[in-house]
Amino acid sequence: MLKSARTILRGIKKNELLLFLIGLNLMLFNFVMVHHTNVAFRQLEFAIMLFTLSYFSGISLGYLFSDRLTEKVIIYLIPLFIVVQLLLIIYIQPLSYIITSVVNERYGGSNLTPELGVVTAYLIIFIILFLGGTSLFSIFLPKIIEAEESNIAKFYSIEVAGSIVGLLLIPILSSISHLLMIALYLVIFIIILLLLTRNKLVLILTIVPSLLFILFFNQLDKKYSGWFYKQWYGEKKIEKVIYTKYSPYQKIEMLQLSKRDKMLVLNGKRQFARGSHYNYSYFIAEYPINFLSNPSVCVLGCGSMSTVGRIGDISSSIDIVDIDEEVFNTSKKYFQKYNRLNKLNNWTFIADDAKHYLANSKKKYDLILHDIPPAYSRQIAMTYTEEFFKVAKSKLNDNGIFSISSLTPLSSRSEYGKRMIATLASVFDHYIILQYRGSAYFYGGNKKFDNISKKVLMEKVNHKGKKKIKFLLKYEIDKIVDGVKIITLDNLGDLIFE
Amino acid sequence: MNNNITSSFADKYSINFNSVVAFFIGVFFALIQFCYFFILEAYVSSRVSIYFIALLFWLIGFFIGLRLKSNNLLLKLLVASLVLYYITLFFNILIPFEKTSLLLSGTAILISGLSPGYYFIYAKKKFSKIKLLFLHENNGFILGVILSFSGVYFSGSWMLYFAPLISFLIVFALLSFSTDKKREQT
Repeated sequence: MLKSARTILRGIKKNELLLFLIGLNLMLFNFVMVHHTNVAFRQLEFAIMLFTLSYFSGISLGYLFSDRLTEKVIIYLIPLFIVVQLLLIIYIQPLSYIITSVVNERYGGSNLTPELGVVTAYLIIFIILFLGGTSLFSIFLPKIIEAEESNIAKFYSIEVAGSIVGLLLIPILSSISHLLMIALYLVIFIIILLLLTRNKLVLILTIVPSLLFILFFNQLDKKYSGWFYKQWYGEKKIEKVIYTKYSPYQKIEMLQLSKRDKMLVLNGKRQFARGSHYNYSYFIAEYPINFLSNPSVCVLGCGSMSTVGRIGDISSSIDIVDIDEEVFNTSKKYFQKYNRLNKLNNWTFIADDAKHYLANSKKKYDLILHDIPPAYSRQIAMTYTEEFFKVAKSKLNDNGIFSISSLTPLSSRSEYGKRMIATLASVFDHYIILQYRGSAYFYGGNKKFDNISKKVLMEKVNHKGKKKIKFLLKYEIDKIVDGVKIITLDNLGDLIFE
Repeated sequence: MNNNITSSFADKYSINFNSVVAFFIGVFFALIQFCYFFILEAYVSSRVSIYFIALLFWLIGFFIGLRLKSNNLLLKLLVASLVLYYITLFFNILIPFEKTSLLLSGTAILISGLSPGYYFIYAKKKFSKIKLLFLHENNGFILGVILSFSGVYFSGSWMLYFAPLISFLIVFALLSFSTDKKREQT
């Protein structure tokens, strides 16, 4: 068997193997770096665009220089690229934060330049990715084709075959470990280098940082993430990062807070902290259940699942739907105090996209909770559209309730909340709004809302902040959203970039 | 001397014209590929597996396209890409979130992936250096990516309905012009 493997290897020529590995690594690089760029810019949609553009611009740069760089120069560039990429993986989050704060402190802050720091950070990260990302890989294809008498079909298809294999490997590797994927990327990078040279200095300069990176990635990742959160949320509030998991969708982190509590962070954005259980989860889940009896519930988006803990005892069944099973596993482990999944036995978890699940589910519910984060990215924004709310409405039983929070005050200058409520009002026939501090909670679908008084609504509140609560009835809501443009699949960007 | 100037200009023009074709064909490929992703994301599911499946089919198509031996297939493949794209679009809009649509979409994406692969075989002789073909096509692809993202954010349906068609018409016009020019030269 060894003999036959050797024969196969001998049969494969250097250039073919080189291009195959480059195709494979381009795919791995894409998947790894898009994750880290997303974390650095806290899942903003611009991060995806920034990375995609830098990825393809880097490829153009490589093509442009393919006949201007000698093999010797390329060989010396490889360790430099490795180091730049590894540093970027570790430091991209603190780096973008430092650039943003330094620029904002010095030049920003005025009405004209409120986002100057963020724009500068985007620009600098783009330049680094553009110069130090895919450009090195794309040098080889035109170079080899030119050298081997223009056999474009053969060489390009080998590189594409490498990408196909890379694509097939990603789901397997990412389900095992993010570090394993980076490790494979580095191993392939080293093999590529070995195919090009046996220069000891170059090999050492590439292998040593790669090994150090693999050995210390987990510690460094936690350390610099922790540093970032301390700057972002306050030195006193955050103690450290106690858990990190890279899922195919996002980086999931659990932070230890100073007051013996924990905070769930998804792609650098706070998802759940203690206060959410007492306010947000009460209003979105427990309050609307007052209008129902022993309801069947569907929770869209799991987060901490503190909502489940609040209504688990008074619901007949709870279906928890989230696209990312790892978020469910993390919250199940760290937030038992709030979600009580270990004590409840009337829940089911479904790993699916909310819209796909609702559209295909044969079940109807008495209560559907929209517990999905704010619409900062395209995928999430789709669950804030007229199209999505219509699907949700169709899955409600008679007098069922759809519950969702605007997360921004209706009176603010931002149109975000108002447009969301306008969209909901255009879909549902019966609705009310509960306002508490900066949030507006929309309850739609139940006919009782048409002829209910604010006094009755208030009587059903069992929350210590009762005095600060205000209700809006349908006619008041209609006045507020009169003329406000609704959100559809056609204008998702309005919501994402608002 | 005048003839020399004209012919050198013509040569240069010919290179530039091929670059323009490569650029716009890159725009078309990006628009059609990203529009497929957006259709699946909006009308099937946002799960990462859907993105992987779509990209996998595209790459397999690309791979097969690179291996196609027949001549004069480009226009046929481009038309097939466009037709299949619209079949996928309307099928998914009419029957959204349908599991079987993934099979249809996957097949359509695979066949659409043939044209970018085949294009490189078709265009290789039109460039003095292969890197120029890659460069111009990829630069067009970058513009296509920018257009796709901006389109889907601010005019989703318009983008899905018209962007691939418009970019195809530009490519079609350029390819027709290129054929006419060749005939005139012969």
